[in-house]
Amino acid sequence: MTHLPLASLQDVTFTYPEQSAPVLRHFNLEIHAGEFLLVVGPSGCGKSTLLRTLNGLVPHFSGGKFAGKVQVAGLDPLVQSPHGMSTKVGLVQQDPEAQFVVDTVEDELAFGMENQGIAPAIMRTRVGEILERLDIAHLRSRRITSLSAGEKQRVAIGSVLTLQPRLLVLDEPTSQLDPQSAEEVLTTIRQLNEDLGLTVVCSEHRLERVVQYADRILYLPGLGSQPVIGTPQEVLLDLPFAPPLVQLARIFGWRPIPLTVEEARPFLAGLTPRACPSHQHAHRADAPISAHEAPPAIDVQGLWYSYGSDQAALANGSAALRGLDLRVRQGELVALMGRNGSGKTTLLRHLVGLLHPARGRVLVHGLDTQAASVDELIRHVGYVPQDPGSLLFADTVREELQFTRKAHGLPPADAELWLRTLGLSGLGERYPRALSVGERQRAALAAILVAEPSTLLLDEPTRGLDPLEKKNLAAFLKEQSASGRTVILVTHDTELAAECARRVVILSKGQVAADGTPLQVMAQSPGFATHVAALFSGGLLTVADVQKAYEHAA
Amino acid sequence: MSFHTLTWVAWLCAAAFSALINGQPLQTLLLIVAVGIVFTLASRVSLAGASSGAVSRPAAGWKTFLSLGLWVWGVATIFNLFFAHAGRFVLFTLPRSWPLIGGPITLEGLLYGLSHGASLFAVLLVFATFNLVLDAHRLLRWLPAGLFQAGLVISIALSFIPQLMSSLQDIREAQRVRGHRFRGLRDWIPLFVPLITTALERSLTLAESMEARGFGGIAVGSDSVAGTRAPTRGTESFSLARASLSGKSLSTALTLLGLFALLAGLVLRSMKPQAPGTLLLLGGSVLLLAALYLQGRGFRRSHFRYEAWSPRDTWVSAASILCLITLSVVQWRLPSLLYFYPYPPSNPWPGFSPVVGLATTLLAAPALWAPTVNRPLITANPHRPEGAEKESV
Repeated sequence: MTHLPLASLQDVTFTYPEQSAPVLRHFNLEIHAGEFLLVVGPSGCGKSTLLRTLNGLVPHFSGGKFAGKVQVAGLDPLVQSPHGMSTKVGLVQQDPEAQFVVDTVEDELAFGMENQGIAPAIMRTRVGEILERLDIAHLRSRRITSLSAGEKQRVAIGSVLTLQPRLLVLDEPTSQLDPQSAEEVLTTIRQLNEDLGLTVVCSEHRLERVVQYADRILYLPGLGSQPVIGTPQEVLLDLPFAPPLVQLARIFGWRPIPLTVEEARPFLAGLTPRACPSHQHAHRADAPISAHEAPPAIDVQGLWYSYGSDQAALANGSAALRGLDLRVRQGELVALMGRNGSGKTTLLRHLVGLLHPARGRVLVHGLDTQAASVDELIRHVGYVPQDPGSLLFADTVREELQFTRKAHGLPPADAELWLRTLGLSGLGERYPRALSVGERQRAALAAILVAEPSTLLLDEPTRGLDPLEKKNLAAFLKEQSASGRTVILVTHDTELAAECARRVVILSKGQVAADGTPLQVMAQSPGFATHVAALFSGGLLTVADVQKAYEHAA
Repeated sequence: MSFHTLTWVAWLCAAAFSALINGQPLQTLLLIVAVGIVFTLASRVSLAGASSGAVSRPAAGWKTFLSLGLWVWGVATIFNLFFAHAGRFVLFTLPRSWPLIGGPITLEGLLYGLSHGASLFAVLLVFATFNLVLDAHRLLRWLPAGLFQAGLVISIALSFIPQLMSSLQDIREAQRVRGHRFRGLRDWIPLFVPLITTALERSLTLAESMEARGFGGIAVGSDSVAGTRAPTRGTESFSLARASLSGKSLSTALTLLGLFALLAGLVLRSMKPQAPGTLLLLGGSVLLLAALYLQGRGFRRSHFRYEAWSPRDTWVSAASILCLITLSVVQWRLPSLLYFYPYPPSNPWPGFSPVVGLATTLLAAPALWAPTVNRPLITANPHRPEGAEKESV
C-alpha cells in the first residue's frame, strides 16, 4: 500500500464549549490514502470528536476552542466548513434513523447530490451504482421506515457515498445491529475500501467484530494519555480489553496474532490440555437447568401477538410473536438473543403488562398479565428500557431513585446503597442527563433496582458501553443473579451473553429457536457464538474457560 | 393514482376552493361524493403498493379518516343545534334557565349545523386526499429555490411529529413501568423532560447529517465538482457568478421595495377601500416573488426525479381549472347559489344549482382518468434528450 497521506491533523487541541479540559490535546494523525483505520478507546476519549474534525463539524457545528492544522484531501475543513467538505468526506453517524431527511431510499441517496446541483442523468447513474454496490437495489423505492436496522445502516452509508467522497467516516456503525447484520455491513464497508480504494475511518467498541477488517488501529486512551497507532499486530498486544482471540494469543504466545477464527485454527494443534479433562466441563455452572428447583418467575405459554390489530396478521405469519413458550426460574440469568425484529422487545413488553397476549398466557410471579394491572406487576418486575434517556428527567441522580420509590408507593430508601453498588457514589448530586453513556446506563439501572424488583429486565444495556463498562455490567448482573434476582437480558453482544448468562434463549420470527446453556446454544447457532466458542466448536466459551482447560505457554 | 404534481396542485386548488366557498348542503354532499371517489381510489392504490413493498402509509383508508371527519361533523352539528335558537320550526324547547343552551331548539339550527359540518368534512376530505396522493417532498421540488429551504425545514418538522409521538410512547411506557401515574399536570414532567431532550439530540444529529451532505445549496461561483454539474449551466458558471452577485443586491432592493408597497397598500386600503391599495398590494407581491426568484438563482439544486406530463394530466388539469373558473364566476356574479341561510326570512330548504353541480362533478376527474395499474414514480427516462431535462434552479 502506498502511504500517501489523504488527511492529516497537526498539533490539534480542541476543547468543547463550557469545558475546561481539552478532548484532543496536541493531537497528530496522518491518514493514508486507501486505508481502513479503526479508532478505538473508552467512552469520552474523543473518538467522535476526532471523526467530526475530519469534515469540520468540529468546530464549525460544535463550537469550542480549536487550535492546530487539519487537511483532508487537500482542503482545510476549518476554512471549507462541513458544507464545503461534503464531497470529500462522508460521515455516517451512530443512529442511522436520526439522519434521514426524506422518505424513500432513492430520494435519500440523491439528497446530497441534489444539494450539489449534480445533473439528473449523473445522479441516476450514481444512485444505481451505489444501490448495486451496497446490495440494496431491491429496496430502491421502499420507504425508509419499513426497512430493517441493517438495511437502514446501508442506506445511511449509501446516502453519503453518492457524493463520491474520498474518505468515509463511520461512527460506531454496528452498535444497533445483531451479529449477522453487523458482519454483513462491515464486509460491505471493507469491500468498498478494497474495490474503490475508498479510505475508511471507523470507530467501534466491539473490537472482536471489526479488528479483522482494519489496516491500522488508532487507540485513544483518553485522560491525556498518548494515543497509540499502528497495524493490528503492533497495537493489539498492548491494548487493554483486547478481543478474546487476541487475549488467547497473548496467553499462549500465538504469533502473528489471529484476528479471525480461521486464522486462529492452526494454533489449536499446539495447545496442551490440562491433566484433568473433566475439569473442562465442571468449571462453569453449566449444570442442566432442570436441576434448579426454584419456582418459575416467568411463565409464557403459547404467546401470540401482532402489532396489527386484525386477526389476519396472526394467521399469515406476520405476527411479532408466534406461539412462544418460555419458562424462567427464580434467580436465573437468561440472555435473550436474536436478529433485529425477532420479537425480543415485544416479549419484554409483555412481561411488564405493557402488551397483552392475543393468544396464550403470560404468568409473572404467578400473576396473569391479562388480569393483573401494571402496578401489581411492577412490584415484581423492573424494566430498564433500551434508551436510559427515556427514564431520566430529575435534577439529580438521587432524586431519580427517590422518585421511583415514591411512584411505587414505597418509603424513601437508602439511595446510597444502590449508588455505591453501581459505582455512582460520587455522582448522587449530578444532573443525570449530563453523565457519560455508561454512567447514565447505571443511573437508570439504579433507578429501577431501588424498588427492589425480584425480576429485572434489561433491553440492550450495552449500547454505547466501552469494554470496561461492559465488563463491570456483566459482573454486576452476575452478582444480582447470585443473590436470587431473576435477570432477563436482551442483547446482541455474544461476548456479554457468554460472560454472564447461565442460559441463552434465541428468538427467531417470534418463536424460541434455541434454548439451553450458552455452550449448547452457541454450538447450535454459530451466528450467535463467541469467537472462542466458534474456535473450540462449542466446547468452550470464554478466554477464562480456555485458560482453565489448557496449559499456558511456557 | 399517479398524476403530475402540478396536476394535483391544480386539483387541490379547485377542490379546496369549492369546499371553502360552497355553503349549500346538497352541493357540498355532491362535492364529498366526488372527492370521496378520488380518496377511495387513491387509498386503494396506496394500499396495493403497500402489500407489494411492505410499505404502510399511515393516512390510508376510509376508516381512520371517517372517524375523525364524522366526529368533526357531529360536533359542528350539535354545537349549532343547541346554541343557535333562531328559526320558525321549533323541534323542542329547553328550559330558559339553562345557560346558553336554554331556549327553542329549531330545525333551522339543525340544518345549518349539518350543512356547516358537511363543509368542514369536505375541507378535511380534500386535504386528506391531497396528503394521500402527494408526499411533502414531491411538492417541495416545485418550490422556487428561495423557498425550498424553508419548505424542507417545514417538511422535516412535520415528519418529526410521528417520530416524536413514538418516542413519547416509549417514554410514557418506561415511566409507567417505573410505577409513575399520570394524574395532574405536574406528573407530566417525567415525560416532557426526556421527550424534549431526546428530540433535541435527534434534531442535532439530523442537522449535522444535512450539513455534512452539503445542504444549503452551493453558491454558483464555487465549483468544487465542476463537470458533474448540470450541463445547461456548468459551462457558464463565471457569468452566472457575476449575475448572482448583482442579483443579490438587486433582490435585496426588490424585497425592500416589495415590502414597502405591501405596507403602503394595506394602509391605503384600510383608509379608502377603493383606492389604488389593491394595486399596490399586487405590485408588492410581484416584487417579492421576483426577489425570491433572484435569490434562488444564487444557489443551485438539481432534482433527482423528473415527472412526465401525460395526456391524462392535461385532461385532469383542464377539468380542475374549468371547475375553478366556473365557481369563481358563480361566486362573482351569482354568490347566492353558494350561500345557504335557513333562518327566517329565508327558506330553510337547501337549493341546488345545476351549474355548480356540474362544476363540482368535474372534481372526480382524477378517478375517471386514473390508470388501471399503479404507475411507479418515474425516475429515469433514457430516451429523453438531456437538454430538455426539467431543471429548476
